[in-house]
Amino acid sequence: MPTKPDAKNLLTYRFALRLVSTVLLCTLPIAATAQQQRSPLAESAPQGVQYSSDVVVSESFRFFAGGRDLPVRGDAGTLMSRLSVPATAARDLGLALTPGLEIGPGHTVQLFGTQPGARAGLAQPATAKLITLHPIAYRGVPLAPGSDIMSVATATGKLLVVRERNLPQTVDGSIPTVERDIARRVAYEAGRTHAMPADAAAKAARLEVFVDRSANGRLAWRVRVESESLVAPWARDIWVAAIGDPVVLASRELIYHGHNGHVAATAFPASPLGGTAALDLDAAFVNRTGSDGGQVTTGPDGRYAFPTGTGSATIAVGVSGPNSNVDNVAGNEISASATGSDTAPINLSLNASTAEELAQTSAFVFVNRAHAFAQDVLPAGALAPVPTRVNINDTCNAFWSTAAGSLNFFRAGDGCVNTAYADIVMHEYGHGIDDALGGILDHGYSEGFGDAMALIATRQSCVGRDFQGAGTCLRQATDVFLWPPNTSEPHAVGRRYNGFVWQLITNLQAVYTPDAAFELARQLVLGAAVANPASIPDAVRLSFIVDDDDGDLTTCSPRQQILAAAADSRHIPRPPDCTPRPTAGRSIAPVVYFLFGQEDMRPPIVPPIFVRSTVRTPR
Amino acid sequence: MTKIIATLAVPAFLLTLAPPAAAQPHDLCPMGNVLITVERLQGGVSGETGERTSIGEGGCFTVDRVMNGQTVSRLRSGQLSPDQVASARTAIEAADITSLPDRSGTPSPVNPVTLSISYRGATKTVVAPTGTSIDSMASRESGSLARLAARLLELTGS
Repeated sequence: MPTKPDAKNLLTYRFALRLVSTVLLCTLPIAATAQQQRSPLAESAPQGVQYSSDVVVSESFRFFAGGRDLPVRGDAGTLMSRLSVPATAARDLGLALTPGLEIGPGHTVQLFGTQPGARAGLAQPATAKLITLHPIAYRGVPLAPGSDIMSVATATGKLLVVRERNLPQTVDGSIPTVERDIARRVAYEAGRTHAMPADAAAKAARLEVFVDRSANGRLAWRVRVESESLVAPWARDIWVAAIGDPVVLASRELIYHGHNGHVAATAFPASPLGGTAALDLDAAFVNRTGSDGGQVTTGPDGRYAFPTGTGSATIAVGVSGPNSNVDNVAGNEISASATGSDTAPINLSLNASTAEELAQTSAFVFVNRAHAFAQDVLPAGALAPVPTRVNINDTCNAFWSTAAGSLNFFRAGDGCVNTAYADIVMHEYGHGIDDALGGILDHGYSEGFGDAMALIATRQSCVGRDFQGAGTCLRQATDVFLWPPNTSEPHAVGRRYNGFVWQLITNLQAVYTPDAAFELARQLVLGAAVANPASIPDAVRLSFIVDDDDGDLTTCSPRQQILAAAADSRHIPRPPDCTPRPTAGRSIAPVVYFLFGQEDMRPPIVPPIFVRSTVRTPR
Repeated sequence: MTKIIATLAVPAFLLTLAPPAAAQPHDLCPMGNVLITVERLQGGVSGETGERTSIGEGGCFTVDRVMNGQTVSRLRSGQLSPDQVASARTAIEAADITSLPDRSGTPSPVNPVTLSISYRGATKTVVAPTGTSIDSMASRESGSLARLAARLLELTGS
């Protein structure tokens, strides 16, 4: 609502109205008047400025030489209130707004309220000042940020300066003709031109008036398009015209970061004989020299972003991160670096090509995936980071060292592939998980548990694909080995457990989608591991307990009969048969996704971790 | 005490000897009766893997790659000189193998290192935590078996 000036200030009001109009129309510096001498500041005051991110600003200053008396004198508190209230502020500031524009409640702060300590005679006393900023609306629709009115007055009641910034001469309306959802779609498409990540989505949309370069107010939908990633944040506000064609009026970046980019690594997605692929390098430290320096960590999609810093900088990455620190026993560790600026992504790739290099990248990638796989059951800080030693001068094996807390992988040779690849990493990491969850109590279970981790994570039944040449399999989980074992060799004993787990997966897939089946298996097996089993039958029984939902194993829990069938397939002792509860409509495996507090059937928490990429080059 | 002194004296004596004779193809050096066998194994994902060194009474020796008790490949072979054979016998006697326990050491929860010596129909084994070297095992007070193994492997160039 335009506000009328007091009669005694009519002359000033008329002059100011003419002056502001002139400035807005011509974007010229304000003219000096007899009442308002030109301020030296006016010479340098920006009159038409385009800031970054398409924020267009035209502004006018009115300086009141010597100060213009305000109605309240000598009472800073009352004056602050008066300046904040729209009606009185508009009158006191002598505003002449375009019809339909409304000044909003102001935010007033006081500066120099107390005198700074000064050496006698060396400093003039400071003048306490009140600075007020008012938002503006048009018929109830707020103007976009950057359109406002600011005033500076002395705390004693003299008005010194008024700034009117980015106020429209006209506004095309306050009722949208473009639907909100259409605007959201337009904004989403517009995000693509700003390197929008795949997981971004158009979120809230609200009406605002956006003032363009010509001081025309355009009713617009302000749409927030953003990714929720905390490690590679991306967000923009995009204004889409709400009247007429839904064109993009402006796009403003909301994440203020510096150098950023993506890191990939060539690695073995499956076995060393299965070809290489470019994989996103997750959880890798990215170091910056130059600019603000510092270190950040890549996210699950391999992206990184430094929150501050501009200009030229060199970015470097290697096979080190919060979950794994690769030690290439045979030589130096692979790394990559590039120099660039914050204005364009600085992408890096660990282009591993030799067997020794591929062992490093593969170990690093899959240790990180193993960590993500088990993260929700690991104690805080456990296995972070794990020393990951690769290319050890030995062959045909790999091992977990409890003493050193390290993963150890041998070079290729004697008919065996380099052992730093998905199946073996997951098996050895399984020992690490077992170690972290109360300590390894039973060799046979620990070996079987390591195999189970590989089975669930790789979603196939062979642990050690191509281990001793193309097509070989170190341990095939579909093979049937019955309990009790007729051997004391731990890996052989463990085959009873890996067989149980594979049968469990198979049985679950008869009832659930593959994603749900593997996720359920993960939770049932890791849930038992949390309880630190003392033997394979103990681990199996613990999975029943983990699945139980009423504290009574004699009644059938959601997957009790599936577990029983899997245990029976390897003759592993288990709780007695259960009795189905007479719940209406309940089948052999009710669709209740209960583990760890989830009561609904959801997509899997952990996606299939080893099926992300496409094999590029058969080797 | 006497045993320790004798054991320590052996390496000093061996150092004065010539290195092993150039390796001959093993079929040119018939093994005959095996005098002693040393096996160093590392537990891991594939079970126990490592090397088995066998020394014949006549001085022929072989070094094989083994995996879960099975010979995977022949790594090398050769022949010890008569002096080296004599030195080996001296070291064996000094170690007094028959007096050692059949199994000793401190295994790790999983993936232990296993060192075994078979001599005159008896096998003596010491287990150690993952990744332990023979030298490290030999440096322990109770490491006479490991010290003997270290000497024999030194003779065969391992």
